[in-house]
Amino acid sequence: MAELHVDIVTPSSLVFSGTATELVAPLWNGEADLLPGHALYLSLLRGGVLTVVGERGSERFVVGRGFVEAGPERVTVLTESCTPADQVDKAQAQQELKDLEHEMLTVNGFDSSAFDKVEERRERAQAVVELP
Amino acid sequence: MANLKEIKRRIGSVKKTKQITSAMKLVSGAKLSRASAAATAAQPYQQQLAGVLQRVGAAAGESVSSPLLRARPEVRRALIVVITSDRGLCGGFNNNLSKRAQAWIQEQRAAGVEVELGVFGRKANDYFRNRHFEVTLPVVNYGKTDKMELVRSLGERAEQGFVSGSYDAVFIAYNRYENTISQVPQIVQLLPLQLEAAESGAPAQPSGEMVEFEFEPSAKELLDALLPLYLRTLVLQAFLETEAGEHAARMTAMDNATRNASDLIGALTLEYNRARQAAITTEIIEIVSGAEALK
Repeated sequence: MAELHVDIVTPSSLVFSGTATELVAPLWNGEADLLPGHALYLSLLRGGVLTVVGERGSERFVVGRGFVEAGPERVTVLTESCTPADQVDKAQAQQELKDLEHEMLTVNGFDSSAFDKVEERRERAQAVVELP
Repeated sequence: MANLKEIKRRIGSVKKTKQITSAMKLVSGAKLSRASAAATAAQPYQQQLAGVLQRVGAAAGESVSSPLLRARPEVRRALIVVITSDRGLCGGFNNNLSKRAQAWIQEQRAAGVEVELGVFGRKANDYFRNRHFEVTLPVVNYGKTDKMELVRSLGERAEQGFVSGSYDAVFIAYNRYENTISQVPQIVQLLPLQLEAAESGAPAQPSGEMVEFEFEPSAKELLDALLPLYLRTLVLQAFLETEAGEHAARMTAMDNATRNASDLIGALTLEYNRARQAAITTEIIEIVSGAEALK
């Protein structure tokens, strides 16, 4: 079976590097399923849960915003934050989500960049909370 | 006899100093290996990002018009951020950089550019305060703060200041970490971003011909999202190299100090032995001449 080489890179380390058969990534316009043989493709990653499906089951990561570069044989994920799903603190994320939702009400809606910053953090917290 | 005691006391104190410096050297050595590992770990991200930027930049081609790339025809107001360490005892590491930055600021001011100064690290802060420079963005004791947090806040400030027109250019001064014995003070232009710099650092394309990428959303939008990220990696690199450089410089300085202490101990021991010998000789002469007198 064709395989995909997946690298998940953050500024502090190479979080994941290995082969996979499938990668489910939260892209800017919805979730995308990347399979081996994909056309050369570059897209935006949004905060959410990224799943690497390998031969021995799947691994989940909570990622922040970033980029996905896909090709027929390899996919590179660039993001500033990436945590393996089993290492996240759900209670803390729940609290953060609550705080951020409050913050969203107070932030100036006309200042789209300020709003976007809060939204970026909220996406991540939301993803953590919604983890099964 | 008082002289003997005095020398002994000094030997003791130099020995203690030597213990401290050699311990500091070991600690810095351990910290250095951690810091340089962190700097190495950041490299794949930088390279990948530079690669992506190159491809997107090439695709966006002529239509590149991001505000972060646009150079102003005339630079009238600039921001320079000097990054040093919080702690001293690391040779000329901080001082060389501060001096270099001071010379640069004076040069720019002479040329009619209004220069605003930001500093990271207690050492640069003290340096510029003592010389009556106005520091608009002083950040001290930043070692405990998360690096990404620092990078994000500085990146945001530079970006906002540049886009809003408060600054026409943003520079960053830090020590480039070449190797353990050499850290070179340098001043780098942060904004407007220079894409050529990114391209030289990017890994070579696997295939010779231009590869057709599909971009989603458009290459332009991707570029807009990429540039702030790229800006942050440049800042991050400066912080990582400063940290590695600080420990390397301290290690070298403490190594020298330890060696000097050893030399000093050797010289003092020699002096001590001479003084002791002289004292013994004097005593013998006194006894002998006393015995002679009794005859």
